[in-house]
Amino acid sequence: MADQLISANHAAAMAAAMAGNANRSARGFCAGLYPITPSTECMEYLCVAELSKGQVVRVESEHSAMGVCIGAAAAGARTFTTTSSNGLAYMAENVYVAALMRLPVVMVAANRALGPPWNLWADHGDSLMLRDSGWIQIYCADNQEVFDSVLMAYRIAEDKRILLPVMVCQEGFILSHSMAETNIASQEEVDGYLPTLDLPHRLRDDARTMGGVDTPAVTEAHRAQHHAAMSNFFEVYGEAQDEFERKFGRRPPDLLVPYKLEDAEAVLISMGTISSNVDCIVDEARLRGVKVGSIRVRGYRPFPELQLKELLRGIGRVGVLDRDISLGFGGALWGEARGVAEPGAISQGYILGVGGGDVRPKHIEALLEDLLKRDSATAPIVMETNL
Amino acid sequence: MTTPNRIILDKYLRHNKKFPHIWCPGCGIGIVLAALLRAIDRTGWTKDEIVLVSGIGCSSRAPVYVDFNTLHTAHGRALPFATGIKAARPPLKVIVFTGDGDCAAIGGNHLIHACRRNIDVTTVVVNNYIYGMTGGQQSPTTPEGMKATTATRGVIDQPFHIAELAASAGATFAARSTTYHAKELESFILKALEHKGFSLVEAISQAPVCFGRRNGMGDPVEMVKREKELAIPISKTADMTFEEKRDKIVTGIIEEREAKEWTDLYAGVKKTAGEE
Repeated sequence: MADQLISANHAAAMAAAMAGNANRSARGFCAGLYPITPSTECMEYLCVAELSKGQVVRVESEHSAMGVCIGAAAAGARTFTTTSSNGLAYMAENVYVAALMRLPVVMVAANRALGPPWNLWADHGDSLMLRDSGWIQIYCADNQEVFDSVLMAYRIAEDKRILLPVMVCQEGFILSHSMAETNIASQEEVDGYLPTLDLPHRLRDDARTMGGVDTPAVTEAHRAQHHAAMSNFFEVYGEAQDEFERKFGRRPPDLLVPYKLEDAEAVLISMGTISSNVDCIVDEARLRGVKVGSIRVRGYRPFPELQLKELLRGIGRVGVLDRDISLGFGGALWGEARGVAEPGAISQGYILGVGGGDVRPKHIEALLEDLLKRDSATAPIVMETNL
Repeated sequence: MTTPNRIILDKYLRHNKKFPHIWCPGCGIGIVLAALLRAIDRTGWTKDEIVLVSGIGCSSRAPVYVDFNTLHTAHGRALPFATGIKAARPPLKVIVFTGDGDCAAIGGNHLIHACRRNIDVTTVVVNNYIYGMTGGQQSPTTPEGMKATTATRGVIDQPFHIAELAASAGATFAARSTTYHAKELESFILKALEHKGFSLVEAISQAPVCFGRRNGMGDPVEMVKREKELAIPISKTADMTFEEKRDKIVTGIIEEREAKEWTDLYAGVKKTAGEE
């Protein structure tokens, strides 16, 4: 193990390359890759990296990138791609295909606002567009988490109780291009953590069909199986954490990361990098005697509903910070969280940092002040224009 | 009497609004855009009847710099958008300004179908052999053996030849020139604009920062001189083999023929159906 000063894009690529090498005694590694800002450096790294048993196909579009991953995964390879924003939107058809074929593809999404007009900066709206695609979605808050989550993603995706693709999300530029000290495991350690991929429905000598046509009853059965696999995720995630800790000596965060929740009367819920600023404001407010805590949501699909409900028990004021906007509704995270808050609690949505807008401590201070003085919740507040 | 370049550029550029532009020093896209503007000036068309459409990439930024109706669309999709404009408003002069990545990679399928449809749209493709906007990854026109950030040991895929691809897909006008041959390029673009049916002009261009730098091609002037050295008029290639032509830039009009145009054919169908 060694610490390296690297970007999250390179951390993701290093993890993917090592996961690929760990499968060398099976069908190796295959990546379909296509550049788009801000995920380009991740795919460039993989194009340069030597993989002992692997291929990188420089395809002509994101749609084809996922196509290559689907084909390679069906043939038994460990697969990876990375994209962002409109690239993810263009890939969307095949994103669904990977999930519905139950293929353990791993993707890193560098979150970026959708266009036009074109915007290159952080926004969770791109991956949230695919929240119902049947992929597992994990949102990271720092570069180490990106590295660790990619390794965990393979272990979880390939578990026989799951067999689903995993999307590891990191905010564009804020993580993708920021250098941070990141502990990089050795290949031997990764070999020990990731067993070789043994896909039960692999295309092999014994001829079989994937895809095909479903009648309504069979479609219902397939969706029920898929949904059940999603619910197995929580148990498998915990095991992947335990095993990670045993192998690498550190424990990746839980799917919900609570902070100073004991005795809290108000809570701020957020995803990704915004959470670290939220925690700073929680510390400052606590010094003033305000009983406030925070929760970072790391696992968005499947949504850890029961766990969140438990954490929110008895808390009367819930502020939800979304770096996305479901137009005509409000924040996507707010939509999930308000449904599990304590009955009667004030669940207020705040939308901020959309399109890469800076989320500064003063913004979080302002929304906390707003939350504390409210008698009731109103429609979600779009911070840049309303405060 | 020809109008001086400066006066033409001043007439069409949104110079007070959108500059400085994003193109690297020494990039050839400006030469291609200037050739397009001079050609447009020679048509006598008004700014209001022209629509310039683009996708995503360095060349696709051009429409935001010029004072026509402009539409900056999604990556690779300029041609379907342009097809919609032309289908709905046939009198408009619809021009697509694109690059090798936008048009031959992610938008390659749209290109062959626009050619096949022979709709009256003019496409100007800046082929600089590389994805420039994302910093120098191999494109479908990067010659074999050349280096890119995604091909540090050299490209192994064979390249598309865009003008020939368009011609074989059904484009009724296809030509190629270079940024060195700026006057010839302008004359080909003028022919394309005045051509009835789908027309395409491929402009070989230099990307000194994203392509030339990694392939030891020297400064922008050396890259443009290289275009001059490699260029060979199509009239001299009749007896050359594919291998002999491979490292050359074949310039000239690759295809020029008359065929029924899509919006005219459609109007005919409607007439037959008694709807007009």
